[in-house]
Amino acid sequence: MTGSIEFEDGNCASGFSSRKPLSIDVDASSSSVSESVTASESTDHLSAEAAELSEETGYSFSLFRLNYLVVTLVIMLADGLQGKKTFLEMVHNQALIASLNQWH
Amino acid sequence: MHLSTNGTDLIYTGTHLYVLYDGYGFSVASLYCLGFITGAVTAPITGPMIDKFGRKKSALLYCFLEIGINMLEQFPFLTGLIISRMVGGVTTNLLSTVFEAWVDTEYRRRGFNEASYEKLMRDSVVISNIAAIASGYLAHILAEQLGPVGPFEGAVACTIVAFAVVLLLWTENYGLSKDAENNAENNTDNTTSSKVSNGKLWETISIIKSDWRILRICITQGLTMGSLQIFIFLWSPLLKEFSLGAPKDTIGLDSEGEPAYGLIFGCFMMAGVVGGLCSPSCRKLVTLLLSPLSKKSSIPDTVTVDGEQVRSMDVEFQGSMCYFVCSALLFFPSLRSASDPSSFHTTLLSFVAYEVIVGIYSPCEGVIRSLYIPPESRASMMTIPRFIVNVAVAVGVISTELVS
Repeated sequence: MTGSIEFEDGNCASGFSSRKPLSIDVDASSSSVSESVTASESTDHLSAEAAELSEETGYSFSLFRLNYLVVTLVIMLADGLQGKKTFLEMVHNQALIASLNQWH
Repeated sequence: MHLSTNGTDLIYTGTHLYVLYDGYGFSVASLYCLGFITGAVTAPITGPMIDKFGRKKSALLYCFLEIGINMLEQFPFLTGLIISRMVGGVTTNLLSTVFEAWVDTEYRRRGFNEASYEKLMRDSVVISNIAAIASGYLAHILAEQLGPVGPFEGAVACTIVAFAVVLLLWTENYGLSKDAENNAENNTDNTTSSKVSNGKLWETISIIKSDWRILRICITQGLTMGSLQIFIFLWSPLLKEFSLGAPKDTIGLDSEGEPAYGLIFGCFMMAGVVGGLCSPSCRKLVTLLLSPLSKKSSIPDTVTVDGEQVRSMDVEFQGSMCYFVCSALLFFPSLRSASDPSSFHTTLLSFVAYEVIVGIYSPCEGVIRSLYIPPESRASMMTIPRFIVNVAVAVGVISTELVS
């Protein structure tokens, strides 16, 4: 049973470490400890990335929503100030179609 | 008809187009219907043009034209008003197409969660309802502070904000495929969009030929929207006429005994919102009433609305009832006399009730369309009611002029 993990500081260890591995040398009979280290770290890394991506998408969506709603608000105000309600009817209709179709 | 006999003789102060144009002493009906005729002529080409030109550019064009219109309308200059009404017909078409098309395409392009789209639409309904109600109050304040042009100055300010947001934050999108989109950006291929629009036109015709119910739906919904537009045109002069015989402390009149146009408009908007909220409950009630009838027949057509199965017969019956009540409410003022002190508030009440019914009816329109019109053809099919609306309003408005 041989195997080693080389860390950024040049040392090797077979135990848990918070340091980031540079290279992993594992033969077929390597210990389960070193496998669990890499699996655990890559899972952490992936979930962190996913969370980051989700956060980024959420932020991006919030900006997009705010952007569209501000335009809706001012266009609706302008429309209403002229005594019209074109935009109101359009928005109502659009929302209903969205609820009917969910997605085209 | 009742109003048209006296309407054009009055000098109005307050908000909105009728009031403003009549204050200038011009033929309100002719100016008003000019916009609708222009809208009818340009409606079929607006959609394909926007797709080709780009939604962001079209939105900017809309804002630019609206700013121009609202500035022109502040001066009693006939040529300027004629131009503003004609351009107004085009901007109404742009308004009903550009923003919806942009958000739909942009949402997909950015790859957001599909389920959130409905939430975004719900948010926009809430925002637009609040803005509609607030705009009435704001118009009232601006009219009192700055005179009849005040609301139009406010509209210019709001549209400038919209222009800035669109210019700085929106990205361009087109109504074509990715390749065609690139071509459109490079202006190298002008044939794709015309092929698309021709294809859609033939598709629309063939769908109508295959099912005449679709044409009937388009005509019915076009006429309904047309009657609503004529109502928007006529409510203010009629209430003005009835206000002459009403006591000064009547609800709906301002301190000078004039109808409080802005507040009344806000009240109409609120009534529409209330109607919209009541619509699902009304549909459930109709379903309950009609359930004994459906047991004898085969399984009716259904569509899913907010996770619930809605039967076509229920929603059609609800729509029919709304038509009937609306016609009765709009007929009511013609039975009233201008000299009767109660005419103003009873007519105002009937108009508020009409707006509630319109709010109840509006969701039915979308449900009926989704029952009979294929989703991929719905946008192009909507051109037909829009054309009918414009023609119906132009004819209706001209007829009031002829009667007077």
